[in-house]
Amino acid sequence: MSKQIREDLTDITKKIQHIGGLVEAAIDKSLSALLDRNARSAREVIEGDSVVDNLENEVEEKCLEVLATRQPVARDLRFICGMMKVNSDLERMADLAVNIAERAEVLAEVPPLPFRPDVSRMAAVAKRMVRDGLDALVRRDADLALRVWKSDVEADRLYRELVGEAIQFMREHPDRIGDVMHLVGALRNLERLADHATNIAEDVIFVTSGRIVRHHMVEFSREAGAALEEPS
Amino acid sequence: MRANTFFGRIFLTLAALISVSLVAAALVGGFKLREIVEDDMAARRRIACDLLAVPAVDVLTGQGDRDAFVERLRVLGGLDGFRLTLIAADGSVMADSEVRGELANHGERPEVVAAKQNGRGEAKRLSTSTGKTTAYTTLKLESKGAYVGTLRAANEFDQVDIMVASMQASMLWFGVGSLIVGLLLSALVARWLSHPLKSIEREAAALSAGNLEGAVRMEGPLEVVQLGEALNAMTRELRGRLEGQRRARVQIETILASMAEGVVAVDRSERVLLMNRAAAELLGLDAQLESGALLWEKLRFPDLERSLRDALAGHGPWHGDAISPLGNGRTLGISVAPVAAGTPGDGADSQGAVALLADVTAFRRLEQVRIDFVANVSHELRTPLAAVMGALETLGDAEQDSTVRVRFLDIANRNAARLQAIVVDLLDLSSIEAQGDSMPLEAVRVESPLRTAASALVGSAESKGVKLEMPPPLAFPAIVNGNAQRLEQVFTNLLENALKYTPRGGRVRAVVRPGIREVSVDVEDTGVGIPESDLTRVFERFYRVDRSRSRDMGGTGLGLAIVKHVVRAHGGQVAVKSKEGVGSTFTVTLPLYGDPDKNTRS
Repeated sequence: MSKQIREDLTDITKKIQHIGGLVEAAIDKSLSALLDRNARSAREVIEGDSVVDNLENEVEEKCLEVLATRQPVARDLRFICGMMKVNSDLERMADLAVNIAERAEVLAEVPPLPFRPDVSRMAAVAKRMVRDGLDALVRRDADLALRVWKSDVEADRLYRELVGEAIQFMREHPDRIGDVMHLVGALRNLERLADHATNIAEDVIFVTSGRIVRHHMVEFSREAGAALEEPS
Repeated sequence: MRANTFFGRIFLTLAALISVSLVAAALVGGFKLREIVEDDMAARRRIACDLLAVPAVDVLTGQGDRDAFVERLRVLGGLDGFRLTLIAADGSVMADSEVRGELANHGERPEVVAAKQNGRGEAKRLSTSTGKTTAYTTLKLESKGAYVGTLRAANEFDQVDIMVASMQASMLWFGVGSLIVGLLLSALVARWLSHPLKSIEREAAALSAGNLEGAVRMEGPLEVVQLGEALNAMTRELRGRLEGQRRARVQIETILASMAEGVVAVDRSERVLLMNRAAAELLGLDAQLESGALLWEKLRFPDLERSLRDALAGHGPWHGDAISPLGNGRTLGISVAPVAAGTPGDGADSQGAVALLADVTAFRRLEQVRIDFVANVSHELRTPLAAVMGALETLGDAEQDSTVRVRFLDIANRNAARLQAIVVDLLDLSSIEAQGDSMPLEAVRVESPLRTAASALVGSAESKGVKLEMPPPLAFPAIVNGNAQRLEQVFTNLLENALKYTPRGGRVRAVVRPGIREVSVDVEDTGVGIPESDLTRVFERFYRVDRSRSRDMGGTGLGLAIVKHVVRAHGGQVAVKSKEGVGSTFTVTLPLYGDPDKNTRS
């Protein structure tokens, strides 16, 4: 019985990890499509999305099956609930990567816009958050998860700055408002990606500690920070 | 003492043997002794009777002295431990060696009756007089043919018993002595047998603990020596085999470690069995990744995971490219093959899978360059060709007036010239490439082709309003091993490019920087600059940062490619630094003439 559930949980982890890898690759590819104005990689991302969708259903079914047949408790139950949330987050992230790729496809065909360095910086932050969030998940590393959560502030700040610059640019170049709107759309999706990475980080903290920190992250991080500073 | 040791076995065997033989000897000996003693006593009783027959008859017939006879009986009986009795014909006891006084009538005693009938009699029974088991021998006494009495000799049986018991007692002592000697002997023999065996045992224990250096000492019985020899031979054999295996393993590990390709092998449950250093580097994993770690826990690399799982599920080998999971933009070529459990291709699930990883970024980029080149060359040729054909078609229409004709003739001319320029550049490029190392080189002052190139461009610089600055003559001429004509082409291309992308009022400057072993020539401009992402590609054929703009500038798209190939043929290098909106600097570095280190052209 216990061995059986262990195998089920390993299977779920393995699948989640696989989806995580696919999503990470899709994000990397869509962002490089955006930055390098490469319509071909954008197309690859758009066409590859169905794989993630299928896997998401598989994980969902597996989780429900384990819940129904094995009736897990305590840590195992928390793990499965956490994985179900991570699963839907990952699926959303894959969709967002597709959205970014669609914008990138359009933007590759128009003359370049001058925000490349800032977009590149924001993309790097978001990519790191996704990567660290998935690493925290597989390593059950609450500290790393906390760091991901903290990076979200940085992603939001970069997003606001970029939108400000974009508005300024549109005022000066009204003829390019359409192009800039595509870029802003892509950035909006990028910011959402970072939010989902934060969700995953929160799920990691839930799975490892059993604490629901969603919407209460500020208190939690204060506590965790205090705990870290306390002389042991 | 444990019964299953040599000592125990030998001693028990010996003890059993001694005990059995002693008990048997005691029983048989006692029996035989009793028989012999009884026979002997019977004979002596008979002799005693025979000896006393004559005086006894005398006493019975009244011719002898009865008291003297009694005394004689007593002496004789005392001598032999016999009881001698003389019984008259009526059964009354006339004399007895031990009992004085009256005795009961002995006429009916069986031995007396037997003697009366047969002349002699024997009996063994409880004595009525003494109450002990007694053997009797009787002799019929006759005088002148008439029965006159009986002479009886008797001795008690306990005498025999005492003799047998004393013999058996001495045998018991002998047995105890033998057992003690047996104990000592067994200990000696056991020690002799077990001592070499103990040494073999120690050796075998050391062997199983992995120590293959020892050898068994040869001593003890032949069988044990043979065992020891067999063990030594086995140790030698084992040592040889282990050494062979170790060498093979080290060999494989060394080969794997020195491979440029990464190798990862996993078992059925996707645990890492083996991973070499190259694989660890390509995957960004710890090189000392303990085997047995789950690969998917350490790594998010969907392409590798999927292909490994396919291979484990019994699919055939898989080859393909994947973007590195490290996010460094490198492309990995992956080959995954199942490690067959039985015969390959029997459809059974495999025991594991092995993946070969290689960084193919450079190959893929080269392929892309080639594909782009073919596409570009046809595109670049087709555009002016179409213009020429269009113009010629219009000219062929006889109704055109002369101004239109002149215009279209001009278009046809210009585009034909452009076609020619492209074809000439392409031919140049391929001849430079074909020449490669065999380009004729001689000592050239690096300034002279630079100044020749600059002087040809002074006019166009002036007309464009760009300042063209040349370096002051060098104090010591920098002489390179070069081809003046090709170097002039290099500098012309660089200066022309710089002028082309520098707006009016800008500046193009050439700087010569001689070094110890090489000389660098910088061509700086204050032009539009090149985006960072394009910097690595500007030397590719037909690569244009901005297609629409550069074609207007009238370049063939091959200038920088020619620069790169010529400089390479000189054993030098060309580099570019640029900042968008600020300007670009192209640096050509050439080895100085006679520098042995650098004149080997690559």
